[in-house]
Amino acid sequence: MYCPNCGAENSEDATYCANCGHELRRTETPGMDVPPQQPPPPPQPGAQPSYAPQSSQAEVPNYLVQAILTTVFCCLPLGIVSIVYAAQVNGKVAAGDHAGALESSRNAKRWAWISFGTGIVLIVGYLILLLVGVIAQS
Amino acid sequence: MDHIRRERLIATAVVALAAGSVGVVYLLDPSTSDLYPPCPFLALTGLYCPGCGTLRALHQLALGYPVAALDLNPLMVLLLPFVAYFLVSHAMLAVTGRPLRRFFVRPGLIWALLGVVLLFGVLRNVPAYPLVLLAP
Repeated sequence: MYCPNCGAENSEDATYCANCGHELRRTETPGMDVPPQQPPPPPQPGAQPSYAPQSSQAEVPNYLVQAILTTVFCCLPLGIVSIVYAAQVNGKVAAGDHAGALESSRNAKRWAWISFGTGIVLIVGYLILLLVGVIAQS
Repeated sequence: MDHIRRERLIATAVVALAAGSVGVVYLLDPSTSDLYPPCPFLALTGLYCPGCGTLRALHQLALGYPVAALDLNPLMVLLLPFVAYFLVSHAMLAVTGRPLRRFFVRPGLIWALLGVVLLFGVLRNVPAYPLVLLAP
């Protein structure tokens, strides 16, 4: 099967992607399992060779794009928090701290959702106010 | 597989949401339409935040005026390729089931980005000549 996270090909019975560590099946024991013993895939052309000589490079999701979106579209403080977590994820990946990177990644994900939710609440709240105003005027 | 179908569904939703948003921003000018909420940060503090001018800049980009967009929010325009890669990756995932390959951003660069964002937020509020160009 192909990893939905990074696109790498994995054996059918793999639990975690050999390339990025993404969970390939819904299991109830999070994170700490031993990754499947598979040879790392050949390095891709665009990849930077300097960090993490093993497979896992781009791998623990850091939600940097969500952080950027939060920063430029709404909710400045939440965007700052998200960027800090994104930097933490990649810092820990670069240092080889896989468990720590996963922990930071979970926080990054949490704040991505918090900021998305905040943005939606603000927009919907504003639209409701707008609608009430229009109705009151007519 | 169930999990993959779910990922594709989410990717489809993300791309559809982005396309819909761009459509709205293209059709309705944020500088004149009442549809868009005011920035809460600007309303509370009277200061421009690093994201100020994003919607107006996107509107200008959608109309084909990149210089006007840069004038409104250069930070957003410069970060846009990043977001575009993310969206293309999700579109690929939705259509073919495989996203684009993710690339690793050095942590130092992300910390630098944080510094740039904060600095940009401060500098664009300075009412002195070259810096007022950064204001929306």
